[in-house]
Amino acid sequence: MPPSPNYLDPKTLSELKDLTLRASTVVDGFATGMHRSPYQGHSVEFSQHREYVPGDNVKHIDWKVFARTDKIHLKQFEDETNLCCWLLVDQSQSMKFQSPEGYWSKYEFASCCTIALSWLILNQRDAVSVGLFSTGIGNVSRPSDQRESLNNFVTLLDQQCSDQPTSFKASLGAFANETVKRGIVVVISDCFDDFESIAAGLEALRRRDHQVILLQVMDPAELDFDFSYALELAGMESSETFLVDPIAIKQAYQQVVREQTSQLSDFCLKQNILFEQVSSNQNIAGIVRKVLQRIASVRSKRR
Amino acid sequence: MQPWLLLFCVSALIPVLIHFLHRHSHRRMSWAATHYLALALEQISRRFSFFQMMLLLTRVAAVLLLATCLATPLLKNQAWFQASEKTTSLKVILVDRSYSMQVKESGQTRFEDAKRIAVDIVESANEGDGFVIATFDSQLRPVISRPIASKADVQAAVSAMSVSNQPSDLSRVLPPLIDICTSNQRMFFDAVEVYFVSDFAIKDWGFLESETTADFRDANHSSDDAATTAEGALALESSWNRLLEVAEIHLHKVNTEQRSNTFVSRIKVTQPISIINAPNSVEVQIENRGGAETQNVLLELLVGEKILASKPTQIEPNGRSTILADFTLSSLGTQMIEARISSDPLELDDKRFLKVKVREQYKIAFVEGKPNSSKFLQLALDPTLSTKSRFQFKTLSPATFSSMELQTFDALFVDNVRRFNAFDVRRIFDFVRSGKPVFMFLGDLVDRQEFNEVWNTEPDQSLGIKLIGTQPIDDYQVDPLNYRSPYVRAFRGNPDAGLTSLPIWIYFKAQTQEAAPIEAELAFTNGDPLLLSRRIGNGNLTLFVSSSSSLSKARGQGEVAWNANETSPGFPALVQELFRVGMQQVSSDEFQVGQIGRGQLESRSRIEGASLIGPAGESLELNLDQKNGILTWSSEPLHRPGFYSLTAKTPSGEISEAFGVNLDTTESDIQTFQPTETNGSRAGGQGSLNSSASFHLFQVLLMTLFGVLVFESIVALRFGREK
Repeated sequence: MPPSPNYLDPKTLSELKDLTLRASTVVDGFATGMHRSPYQGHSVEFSQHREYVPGDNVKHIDWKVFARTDKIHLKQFEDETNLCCWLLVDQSQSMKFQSPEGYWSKYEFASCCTIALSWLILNQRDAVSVGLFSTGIGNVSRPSDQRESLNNFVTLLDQQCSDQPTSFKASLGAFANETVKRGIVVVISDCFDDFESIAAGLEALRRRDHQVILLQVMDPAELDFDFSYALELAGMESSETFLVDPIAIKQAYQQVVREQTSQLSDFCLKQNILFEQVSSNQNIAGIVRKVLQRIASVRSKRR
Repeated sequence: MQPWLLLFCVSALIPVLIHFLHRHSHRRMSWAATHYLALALEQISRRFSFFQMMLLLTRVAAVLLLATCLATPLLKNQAWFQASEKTTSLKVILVDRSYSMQVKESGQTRFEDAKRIAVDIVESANEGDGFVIATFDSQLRPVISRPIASKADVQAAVSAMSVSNQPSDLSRVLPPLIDICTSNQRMFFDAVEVYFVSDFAIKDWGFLESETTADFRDANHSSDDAATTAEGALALESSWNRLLEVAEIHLHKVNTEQRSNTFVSRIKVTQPISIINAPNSVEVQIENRGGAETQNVLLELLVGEKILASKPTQIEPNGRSTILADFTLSSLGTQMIEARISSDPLELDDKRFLKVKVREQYKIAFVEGKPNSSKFLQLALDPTLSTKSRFQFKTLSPATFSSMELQTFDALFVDNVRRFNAFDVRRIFDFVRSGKPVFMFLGDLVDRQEFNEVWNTEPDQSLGIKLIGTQPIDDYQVDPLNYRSPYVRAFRGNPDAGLTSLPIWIYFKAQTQEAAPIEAELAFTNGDPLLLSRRIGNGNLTLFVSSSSSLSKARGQGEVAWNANETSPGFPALVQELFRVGMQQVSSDEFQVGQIGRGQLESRSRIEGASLIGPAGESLELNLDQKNGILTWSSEPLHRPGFYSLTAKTPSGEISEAFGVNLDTTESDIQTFQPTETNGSRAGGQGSLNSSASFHLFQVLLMTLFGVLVFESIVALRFGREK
């Protein structure tokens, strides 16, 4: 795989103010970087023949069979509906965080990923739905395979983050209950919730037979805790403040992050959930590629 | 221990302050991952607090240790520190080179014995010991000033030492010795040991023998100089105690016998400027110190190898004898007289030297403000005015005085001169400083303001006498002040000699500066001084505050004379006494051994070169400076007693001057004391040495500090510093 063009660099993208522009830049760059796209759009595969009954669409009559057998049969196809992909973005207060070293906030990063994914998925004529969640499930757009829907998604994601903390259990549980059709659910969040809550939310999705992809978005500072001066840290989703010596706490903090990530990763592995921890300074193309590969694998299994 | 350095302990607060300041200097920031943060803090909080506190305490301890190291406490004689560990010491060896070390004992001098002991000390030193070598007499003279370890080099330096002709002076030796000890104390050695190798003359070391300074003072000195001696002894004891604080002292005595020593302590000629074939006399003082026997001594006076006089005398133990010997000199010029007594174990102090100038006549200059005003002074000195007079007078006006070579005269009379210029005043001061007398008479020409101005200008030529003004006409009576002055002592018991009945009606009231060395030799009964003398250098300037004769008249008051001295029988006698005593006070014993020779020669001609030859024919270096007809010379220190000859070459010939250099006999009392373990010092026997028993806590503290700093680095690396 050739390296992504410079304009997919998160720093460059962060300087573009318009989300659509950001997403189109990602998509264009993404397509340009492919030699041969494995995603040619859906094809309607033949399944069997059946006898014609009045009212059937004549365009599906198999004229070759009629010529050989003198009977009118219609071609039948295995699946005539598109794959549906739900992109759920965490809009809790913590997603607004942006460290001095970060190019953009976690929410901006998540939004850009979401639009880029939507664009590419729609290009494959699959249906896409974009939703927001925090304490509970927020606005979720209707699944659509129309490119015009992209504007609706942008409008939806342009909303401010809520002041609420994240609750995977409540929000994803509600989403699972409301969504009948099974599909692919991409959850983009910083996962700053109790592990039990996160597990409960993801399990709810899995029970509905959704394929789940969890993207944990972290600011570089949240991963490294690389500060050289004393800090008074005020919680964004709580009223707590912490007076810390970063030099002294750094190692312990990184250890906690590794442990928490490992716990979540293990859980996802067991639940057959694709888990990716990404930095908000990371190149978006790579993340998009991983998600699309997962979607492609899901599609191939279904057929 | 230098306790004031413990003030640095206050700086231990610095890490604490930094700690608290650091806690309050932080940045505020919103943070999303508080859940992770809380978990991390929970994990490290206890351990982190513990190490933070440990780091703080370590830093405080490091600062405290550093402050204590700076204070350098010294533990002495701590048995638990000695263990079996070998220690190195700095051995400061001081060899006495004062002239009492020239005493011969059993065929060798005390100094040779001292050098042998010094070599023994060096040979018995441990490997690793350092050596500083010095000699001492009137001051400390380092031979090897920085520590060296080579025994061969030290022994070579000891062999090259030589004895001096100066007495020792511990009060000037101890302070620089303490500096040497303290500067080397903390460098490379565990201990500093000072070895005195000396005869321990009672003069210098008596303070160790006496139980108290007061005892020492009472035993050795009269009450007249008791206060000064006690003060000096206290200072010496203080220095000694200070030395004991910084070093261990060992006293090694050379081989001595308790014996007496006779020596010439003073020589004084009655007339330093003598008339050829005229009788003169010399006063010689001989002392006998130490021992318990009366000494029979033969005194001989010599000019060159010719014996002028010879007198035997007996001197009681610890007594002195003053011998007056008459002599006449039949050769003109400067004659060098040597007073010599029979030799004894210390030959150096058996001689003393003196110069006498022999003239056909006394050459006296008179500077007179009015023509012939000094004729009564000349008549007073030489009433006959015959051609065979012992006086040769030269009368000068103030104008001709400036061009006259003053040093060719033996005395100067100044009579009623209105004023001198600054140059002439300087010449008169230099004349007096060279040891020659000046007699000044006032009169009606003298202006009070001009006198006060010109004679009190610069610090080095200030007379210290100011004229207040002339007193009203009256019949003033003279007070002889109990005839205590040498100028009028001859009048004692002769009330009819006319001294108290001098007819004086007008005089200048004079005021003297308190600090100036001025004596009132005669006064009026109203308390005002009549005759004042001022010591300047080696000579005297004498001021008579009235005129020399009745030629001075009261201004605007008819013909009232200031006095009628010329008609009084007392006045010629007074003038002759002034001259006689003034000439006796001419200094002839100018220099002591160890002093720098310096003096002046008057020469209108340019000096082309000069040389100074010592008693052994050695040539000494000279510094010359000729200004305004005066050659100022100075030489290197004069180390040998005897006669020195200075010769200056001019285009018109040679100018020569000679002088004697004599011993400072303060160490001629060659009694010694036997050092014991007194005042914390150790008496070394012949070659017995004591090893060091002191240990520096400094080293322990320094190692602890090093350990603390290493520990701090480890803790800080782990918990306090960025990797």
